[in-house]
Amino acid sequence: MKVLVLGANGMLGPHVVEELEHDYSLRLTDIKKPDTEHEWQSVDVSCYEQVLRATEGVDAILNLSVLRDDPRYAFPVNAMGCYNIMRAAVAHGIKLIINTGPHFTIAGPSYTDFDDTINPDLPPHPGTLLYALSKGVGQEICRVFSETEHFHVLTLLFYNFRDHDEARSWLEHPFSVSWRDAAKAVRCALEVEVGTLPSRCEIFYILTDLPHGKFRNDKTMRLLGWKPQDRPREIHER
Amino acid sequence: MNLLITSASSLLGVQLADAVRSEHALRLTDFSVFEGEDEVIACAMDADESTESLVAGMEAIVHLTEPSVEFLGASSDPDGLRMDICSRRTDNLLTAAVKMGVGHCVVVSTLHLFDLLDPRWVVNENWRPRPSTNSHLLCPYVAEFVCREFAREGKLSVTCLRMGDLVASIDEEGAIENSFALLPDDASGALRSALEKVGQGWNLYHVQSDLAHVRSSTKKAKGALRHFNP
Repeated sequence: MKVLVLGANGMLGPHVVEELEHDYSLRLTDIKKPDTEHEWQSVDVSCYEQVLRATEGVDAILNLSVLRDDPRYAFPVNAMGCYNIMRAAVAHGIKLIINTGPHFTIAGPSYTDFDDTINPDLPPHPGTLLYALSKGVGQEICRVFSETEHFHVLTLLFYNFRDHDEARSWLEHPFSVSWRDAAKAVRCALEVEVGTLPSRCEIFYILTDLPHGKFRNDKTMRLLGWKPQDRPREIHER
Repeated sequence: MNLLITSASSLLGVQLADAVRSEHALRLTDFSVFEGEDEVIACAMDADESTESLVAGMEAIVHLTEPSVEFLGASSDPDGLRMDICSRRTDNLLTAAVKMGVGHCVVVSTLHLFDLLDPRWVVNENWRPRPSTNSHLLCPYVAEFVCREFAREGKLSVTCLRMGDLVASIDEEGAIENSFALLPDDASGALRSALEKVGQGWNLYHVQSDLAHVRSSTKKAKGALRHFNP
């Protein structure tokens, strides 16, 4: 199976490549080349022609591209990037797209300031924070395409990342996930039998399994078979 | 009031500007300037001071989601250009509007967001839109999405007018069969009213003319928009 990785040289990309490289043929892309032996293309996801060329001949697309708060490029990368990926997937008949983003793609402050038990199937309220809104638009574009096109879009939403052996900061960020558990979630999304999913567009929260109750990750474990391995060590040492 | 109209060179932009010019002081803008009777300010709506200058002093904005044919025609990727206008540039416009103290935005969208539904259903504002992936329809939906978040956070009031298709008369060829037909006077009446009646948050209305086979109920618009009498 050949997998295109967009944004492979970002923060999560190297962890995902390490997780997948022995079982998949990878085509890595980003705007800056990583140190890699894998097939490589320089791709700006906001350029349709580049995305169309990069997606040729692949079986699945993994979108790790992101630009957080730059007012010039956040929408081109986070929203237009998704639009270009969707158009390219239609053009090449690609059946599986794994998208990624932050938790507030769905649940912005109108949820998080008021509620707990937040699940990924709520109506999206990203709010107006540039990062959240631009990613929220991208996610909505993916949803519209998946309703009429015959491909699946699985979106993995993260709150924050931590090294699995990092100490105290886990307690301040209990909604985090370790890099390696995040990478395993990507593998689960690539390998799930899509016919078992409720729809062609499913969203999952990727969070360490802790009893905070703020966000829910049970859907991820139930449908993707993902089980986070890393928990903050200090909880067991107190 | 001081009123900014975007994509003012488009057919709908010209129509709507004519409808409100006797009641408001207009500032017209477009992404490029083409020949016409009115003075139009060219603005790319980038995230910079030019967009803030564009909205400075305005009390309301009428934001059209469909750009002019001439502007689209000059692009090698008109679908991508539409998406850029309805996502990034719409965000830039509203961000500048909030910063410069503009209190109200009327975003003009389309009733064709319901094209994927069985046409025998009569929809209203409570129905979930089903836009197709055609950029004519997906992009207005995206613009609504962006504007709704600004309204949700109370940064400014947004009135969304989902309009039907402008026809010169109900008797014209093709209009009789168009279940989304909208006469110019009805479009004008809806916009004039929307500018008068500024509700808090997000205010959504379906606007089309009365036909034998309407696709959308206009009951809510008729009740709230006093100049809209289709």
